[in-house]
Amino acid sequence: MKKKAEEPKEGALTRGMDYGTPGFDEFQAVLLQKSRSRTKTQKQQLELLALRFEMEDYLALAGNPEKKAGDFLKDFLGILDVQQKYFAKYIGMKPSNLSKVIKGERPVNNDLALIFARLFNHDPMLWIKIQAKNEMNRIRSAGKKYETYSLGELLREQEAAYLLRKKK
Amino acid sequence: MYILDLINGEPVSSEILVMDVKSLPLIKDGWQFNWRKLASTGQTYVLTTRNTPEIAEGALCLRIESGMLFMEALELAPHNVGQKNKRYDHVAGCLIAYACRESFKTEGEYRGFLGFVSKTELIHWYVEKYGEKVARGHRLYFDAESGEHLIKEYLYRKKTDQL
Repeated sequence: MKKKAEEPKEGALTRGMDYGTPGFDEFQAVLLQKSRSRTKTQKQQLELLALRFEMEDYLALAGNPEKKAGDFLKDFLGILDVQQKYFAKYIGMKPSNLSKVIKGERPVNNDLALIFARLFNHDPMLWIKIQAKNEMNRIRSAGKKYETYSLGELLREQEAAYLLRKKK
Repeated sequence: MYILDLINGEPVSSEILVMDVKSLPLIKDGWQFNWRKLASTGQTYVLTTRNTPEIAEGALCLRIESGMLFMEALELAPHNVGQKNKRYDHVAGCLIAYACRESFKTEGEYRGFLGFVSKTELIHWYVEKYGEKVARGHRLYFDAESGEHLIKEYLYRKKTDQL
């Protein structure tokens, strides 16, 4: 019977890497060789996964420069080497409308989000949330003073109006 | 992301945060690495539960060298080590999966590779538990495939999934 690997007895689980030594160079050379032996499909899968993480991080981080949902779509098509007109035809959309989605002139609606998620193997809400985040940032930067709204003030004003009506 | 509370067997919602130097774990508290010193060599992260964000359950230092991402240091909190008194499980898995995810952000030919040096006695544990590959001696690495597997298992696992 195969012996089960023993659990760590100490908290530290690594040792320092010997950067710059011949052993290190040899280690990197092995990995470089593995990297170069990746097939085109493996390279695409890697890039697609990296792009998915980029979308997730875009959502998680505040204050990053805007990237439209359409920009991400363009990146996906670029990685897969799929022409926009063929993509539009495949998903039953006019090429001009797809172009508008990519430029951010048309939204990625729920239907498109479900199609993209199915094709690129991730959560459809990623597309919806990215659009919502961008839209929210645009509205916020438009200058409307949202801090003037207060629940306390709303309730006080309602109460005052009620009392006034009662007096009358 | 969830780690497992070994007291009641419940998954505990957790997160991995970039930590400023002053908030990093200390040797005087039983940690082995000098995390404040490590912070000058790479980016440091700490795993905490959402309910107790002030308590580090594990820590990670990542460094890019010669275009590749390396796990410079990985450590479990003293209370998460050992058979008898260990409080949380899956801390190492979550931190390694996070490091693998970061490796996808590396530009160039080493994208998707995460390298590190294992302690001698842990090589077998790493290979068996996390599917790492041995390249040269104590130098181990994750490739994109094993990294993706760990990311799914440790970072995307839902609360209702079996831990």
